[in-house]
Amino acid sequence: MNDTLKYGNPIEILLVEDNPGDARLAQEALKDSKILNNVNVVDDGVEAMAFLHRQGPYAKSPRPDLVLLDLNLPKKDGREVLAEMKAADELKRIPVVVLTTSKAEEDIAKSYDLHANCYITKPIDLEQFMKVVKSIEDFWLTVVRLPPRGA
Amino acid sequence: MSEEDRVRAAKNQAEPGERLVGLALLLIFGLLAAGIVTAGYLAYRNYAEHYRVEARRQLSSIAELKVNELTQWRKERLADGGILFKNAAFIALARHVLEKPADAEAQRQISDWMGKLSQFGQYDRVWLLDPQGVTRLSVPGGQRPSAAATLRLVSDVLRSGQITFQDFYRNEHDQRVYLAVLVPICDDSAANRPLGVLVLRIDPSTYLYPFLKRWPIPSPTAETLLVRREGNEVVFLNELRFQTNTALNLRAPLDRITRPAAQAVLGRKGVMNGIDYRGVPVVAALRSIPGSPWSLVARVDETEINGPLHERLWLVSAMVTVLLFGAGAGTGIVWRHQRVRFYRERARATEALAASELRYRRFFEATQDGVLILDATTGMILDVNPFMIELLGYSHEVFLGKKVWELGFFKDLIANEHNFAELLKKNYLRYEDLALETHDGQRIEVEFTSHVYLVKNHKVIQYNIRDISARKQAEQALEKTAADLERSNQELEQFAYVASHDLQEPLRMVASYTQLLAKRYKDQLDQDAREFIGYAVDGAVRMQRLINDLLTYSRVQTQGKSFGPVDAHSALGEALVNLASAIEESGGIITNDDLPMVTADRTQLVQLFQNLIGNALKFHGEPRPHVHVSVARETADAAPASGPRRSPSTFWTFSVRDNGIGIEPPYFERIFVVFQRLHGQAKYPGTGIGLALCKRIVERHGGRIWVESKIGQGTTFHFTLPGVV
Repeated sequence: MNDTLKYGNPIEILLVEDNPGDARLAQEALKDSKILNNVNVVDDGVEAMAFLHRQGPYAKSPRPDLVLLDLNLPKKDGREVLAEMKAADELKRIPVVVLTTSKAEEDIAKSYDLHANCYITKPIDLEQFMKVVKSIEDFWLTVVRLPPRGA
Repeated sequence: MSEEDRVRAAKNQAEPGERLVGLALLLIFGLLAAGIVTAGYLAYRNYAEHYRVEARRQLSSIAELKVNELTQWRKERLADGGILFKNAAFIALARHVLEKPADAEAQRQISDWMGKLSQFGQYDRVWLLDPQGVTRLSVPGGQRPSAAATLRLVSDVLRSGQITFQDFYRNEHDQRVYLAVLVPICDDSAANRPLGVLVLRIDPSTYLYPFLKRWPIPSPTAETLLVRREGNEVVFLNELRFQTNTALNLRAPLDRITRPAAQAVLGRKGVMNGIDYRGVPVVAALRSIPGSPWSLVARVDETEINGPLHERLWLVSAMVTVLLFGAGAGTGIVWRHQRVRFYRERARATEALAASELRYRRFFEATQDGVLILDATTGMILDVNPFMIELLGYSHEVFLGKKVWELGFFKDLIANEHNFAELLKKNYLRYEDLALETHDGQRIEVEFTSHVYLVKNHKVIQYNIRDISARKQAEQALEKTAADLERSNQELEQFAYVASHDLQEPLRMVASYTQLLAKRYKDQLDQDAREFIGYAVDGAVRMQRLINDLLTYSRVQTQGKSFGPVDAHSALGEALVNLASAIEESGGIITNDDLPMVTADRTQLVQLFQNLIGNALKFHGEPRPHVHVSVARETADAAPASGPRRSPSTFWTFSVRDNGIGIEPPYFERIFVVFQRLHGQAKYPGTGIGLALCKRIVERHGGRIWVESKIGQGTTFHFTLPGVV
């Protein structure tokens, strides 16, 4: 089944991450994925919203199947992006995984209050990081049935 | 009320105490005097009673004595007669003489007999009469006729054949009073033929009258009366003390009941008060003399009996008088003493009042509060202290004589008379801060209090004004500082959060990419390069741990939750769950006492147990680690000296004891300081923040934490927490 997926349409992932190092790490981790995926990277909240709403340069962008969202972003931070997504009918069904360095309890609570689907702290160890991304991929891309595109 | 009246009233008012003392003393004197007089009277009455009884008893016994003696005397007289009566020799001799008068020898013999009888029996003359009453012989000396009264009795005597006592009678020959004993002489050999009568005459003046006159004690009025009844009269038989020639001459009618003599002959016995023959009041003892017609009256003038009583009365009176004077003088001295003391005390009180007045005046003048005193009824200002003048900048004259609402600087508070009256309704008033305007238009903040009190029934108001401008400024400054501090804390908090968050990113980059490097190019890297990468990653990991710990530490105060009742037992349980892997790894045993409910932030309590037990497991020695958590009600000594939470009545002291490597005493304080470590990373890894965090948590709860330890034997951490109220 996985093999068939690899040859089908790739899964579209939006990675909202201002740190290019982190973005690269995530991409590296997803590169080894068994599922064909396409990672789109934007580096601030405003860009992220533009991408999601297919505005400006993103008019031709695909609608993402999964959003990996950092909380601390320039211009518009992750909490605002999350809030706006969950408030918008056409975006609220897209699963959002909050992937951040913060371990602060209030960040975790706040994220779930805003209907984040999952909250993950980035581990410092590379192996750990790889494992986390792998598990995200496993869970969200293979286990979970995602809402149909364009719905 | 005129000035004079007022002064007088004041004077009267000032001395009620003194008047009261005077009144009390007068009362005491009155009681004392009454006591003395009563005692004197009772003593006298008792004495008089006793004396009178004694006098009567004495009188009575004298009478008794005399009666006995008289009775005896009469018996003796009759006995004298008895000597010759039935004396055969005498009778024979008498017969011989009577029948043969010529026999001189017989005459001489019988004269001898009769002479002896007269001589020893105190008879002044003895007769021998024949039955016809003719004197045959008369001794002593020559023939004397016997009295007619005697002769009248001769035949009776001879007929009865009994010795007869002839009572007092008057001899018509010499007009004197005599008594006589008549002895019949009968011839017992010739059927008691009467031969004659022997008459033994007694002159009462020789023995009887002197005997009656005698009194056993010297007395100016005492006297004995001998009386007998003749018809309805009482006849006095003896010669009296105050009247001569009374025997058989003085008579008195029986119906005079007040006369003791009359009462005596009527048969009354005992002691009576009466009037004697002189018409003088007397006390008399009455007796009748048995076997005789006589009654005896022993009497003394009342005046004689009462004489000593009068003396005694005088004496008692004198004593009473002296005592009264004494009591009066004593009371007077006490009163004088009291007066002196009263005036001295009053003088002292006046001095004390003056001193007090001076002190309070100085206080009034020197105090750093403004004081204004006004008449409550008129609102007129009575006094103002210098500080008030200085504070408000008005002169003394501006204040005095004005009504308070005319001053103006109280503004709305006392703008008019109506305001003032409203204000007056409350006896005490206080404004924390009130704005006043000084003379030069400056606004000052004051604390204002108003008291109403009475001075000699006159209502007075006192306003106290304290300049609190400086305090207000200080308060505002303090508030600003507090606000600044709060903001600064928030900023610091924000900074700590952002810093630790943002610091982690680059660390992760360093760690991740060195690892990625090692992973991807492991074939091209030699051993050294891999080791170096290892150090770089390790450093970054440690740095991250430090940042996290520091973040936790900085947030104990600000991010802590509110306090509530927490079961320490369950908090410990949760800590042990968190420590599960450490416990398993070290093979440690954790035991505990029953733990109480405490007032705490549950998360922090879990953290506290976790850190302490984690340490105990970490720093273990050779034997397998054993940690025991115990608790005790806290002793006064361990109570926190100060702290924000002191209200709960009980504090608990928790102790976490281990058998680990121990800590040396010099480090007992140091271990609680942030990042202070006693061991190298290689042996015991850690950031050195655990105990500092414990200390912050305990102190946030108002408790304290300390350590006891012996190297190689183990360590005990003690901390206190408030109990549940």
